[in-house]
Amino acid sequence: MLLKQYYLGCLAHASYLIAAEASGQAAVVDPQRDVGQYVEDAARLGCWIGHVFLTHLYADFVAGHLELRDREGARIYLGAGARAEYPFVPMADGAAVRLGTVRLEVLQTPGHSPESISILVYDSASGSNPYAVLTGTRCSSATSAGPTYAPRLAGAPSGSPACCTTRCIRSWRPCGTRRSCIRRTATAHCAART
Amino acid sequence: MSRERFIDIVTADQPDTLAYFTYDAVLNARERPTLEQALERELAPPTLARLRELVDAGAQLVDTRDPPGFAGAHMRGAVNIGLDGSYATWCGTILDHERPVVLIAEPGREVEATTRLGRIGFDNIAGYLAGGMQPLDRAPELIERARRVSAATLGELLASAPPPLMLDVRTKREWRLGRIDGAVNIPLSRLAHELARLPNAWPLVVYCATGYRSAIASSLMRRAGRRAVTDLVGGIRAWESAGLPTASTDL
Repeated sequence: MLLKQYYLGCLAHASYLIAAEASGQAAVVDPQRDVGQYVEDAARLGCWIGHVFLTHLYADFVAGHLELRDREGARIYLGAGARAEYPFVPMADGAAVRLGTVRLEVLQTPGHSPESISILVYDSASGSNPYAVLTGTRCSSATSAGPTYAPRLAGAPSGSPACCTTRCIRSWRPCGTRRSCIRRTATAHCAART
Repeated sequence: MSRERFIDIVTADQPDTLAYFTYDAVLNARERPTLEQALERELAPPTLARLRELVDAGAQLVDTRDPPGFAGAHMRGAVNIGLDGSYATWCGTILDHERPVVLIAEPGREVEATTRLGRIGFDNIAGYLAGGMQPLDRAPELIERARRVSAATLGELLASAPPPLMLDVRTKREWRLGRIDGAVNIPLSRLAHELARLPNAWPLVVYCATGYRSAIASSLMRRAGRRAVTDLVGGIRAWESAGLPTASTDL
């Protein structure tokens, strides 16, 4: 499995490619709108990008989910609370997508925005503990991020700034998986930390 | 901890909500053209005559070169938002996404300038001036220059009578931590709405941390008709490096 971070300094935007070479499949999380770098890197690994996740509907940049859909045929995944004009797969707590031996499992982590999700990355080599968690802007620079500006979209749930405190950085699951068991906590707005 | 106290903590010191955030948040939920489709339409260089028509009709003229190049010569009415900084963020803050944008860039950086606006969903680019500033050689009446001042010279000006008015366009927090004494603070993100606070006829010197934001600010003010505007080269860092004093407020 390859997990690669792309960091765009001028927008402080990190995005991720997860490629499961054995299966020929790849996924991208929170892509920039210029998607060429993900497509080229995936192709070099013999993978096609069949899946694109947005951890939430970003306010500070336009994501490249439609670009990957139109160019690669990628399916779009958003948190179950999201509303959008385009077709997407709503991902509730515990929903997962498999890329061969790689499993991407969603945690609903509202707080920064109502529909925010985080993505646990499991690889067969990492055993039962997640190899990484991709948190969007749920946490940034090792602390819990503040709320984003959540405009009232038609039909969207109200975006109260601090609507949920159920997921703190210390325990990611009700069963008590500790942050120390997750080797990489990767956000959208700072460099990944090991 | 009460719910209200929790909300106070997580919302404390939140940065300003920038003008383009609502637009981008809504756009991420919408069907829209792809970046490739937008660039195919946008990467076309209008003639200088056509560019002038577009600007006269309300297009926003953005010069993406660095502040020294802009100050040396720029097209009248241009706002200087340089590519070598937080270009997209400041374009999103300063520009109106509903009005067309015309770009001036160093030759070879036109695609970069257009693509970086596409990353924040600004697809209303009416083109770029081919050849950078070169076409303006035939229209020198359109060229203006911007005044800049070194830290040492500013120190002398502030000691003279009457001293210029100092405008600090950094955030309130930056201003509190250390500023040139007597400087008025209007963060760049709010400047367009608060220009009326500043006396028009008084000589004004604008500064920020390094000179990037003040170049944007001074070009905005010149576009609004203020002529006696000067930009501090190198910002407050240059001022401090020259050993000149600053004031601060206890936080």
